[in-house]
Amino acid sequence: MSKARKRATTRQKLIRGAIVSASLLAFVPVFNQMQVDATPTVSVAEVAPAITQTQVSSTTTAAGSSTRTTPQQVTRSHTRTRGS
Amino acid sequence: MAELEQASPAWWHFLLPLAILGLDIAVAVSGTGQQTVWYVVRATGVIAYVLLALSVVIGLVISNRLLPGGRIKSDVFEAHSFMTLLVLAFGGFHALALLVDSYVGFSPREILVPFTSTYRPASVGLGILGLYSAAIVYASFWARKMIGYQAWRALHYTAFFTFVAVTLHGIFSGADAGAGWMIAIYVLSITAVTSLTSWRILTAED
Repeated sequence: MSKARKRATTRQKLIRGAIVSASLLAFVPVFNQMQVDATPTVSVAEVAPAITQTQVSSTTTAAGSSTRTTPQQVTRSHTRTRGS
Repeated sequence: MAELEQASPAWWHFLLPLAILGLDIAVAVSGTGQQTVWYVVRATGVIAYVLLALSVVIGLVISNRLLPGGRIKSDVFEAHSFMTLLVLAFGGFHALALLVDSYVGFSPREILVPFTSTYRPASVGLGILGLYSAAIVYASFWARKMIGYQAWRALHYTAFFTFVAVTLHGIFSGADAGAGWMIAIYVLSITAVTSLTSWRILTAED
């Protein structure tokens, strides 16, 4: 096989590899987007009554970043306090 | 046109459909949730459509002589023909995965024979015809030496039917046809193909 022919074959393989890789990589965000689209969205009006009945604490660090604890975390912390 | 001639098909070209079938069976026996199979069906359909649109656009770019000759042109032609093979691979997977999926419950006959589906027969039938015509277009790449340039060119026009049929299939039976990102894909693809086809017709010399 001549040098030019070898180079052409290598280029052909690279092109095909790049297209296959790009197609398979594109599959992932498309698949994820479909999962996102399938996730039911809940309106604020539906959630608001539930929020008022749960305890959500928030703390702000010295650096200014805010951390929030979920109701489950609050309950666990509360139980531990009572047990000690 | 000698620079655009195809090398003989690699052995794994023939294994690709078998690999897809293998993956399909693996999905079926792995106990994957039906929801996942349904996403796979839709995602492979979307990827097949994007590859088809890209292949048609690249084909029109080549025929409109918008590329410099030589190595670049032969590389782009290689991408064009290989994308058509991948359209068959992803399209084949899309069709076979529908056999596994229980959402619609297609039978093998409904998947293979156009317009026999109980679910949206017209648009599903167009999808099946689109896949068959894509196979004809891909076969034409290899048959060019045998059938001659004029016959190859006439056969290659089938690609336009493929694009129209698959676009209608996607719009009228695709579960994601109403999603913003999918509408964007349709608009971009249709605009690009229509513009380049108009350009081709307006600047035709023969």
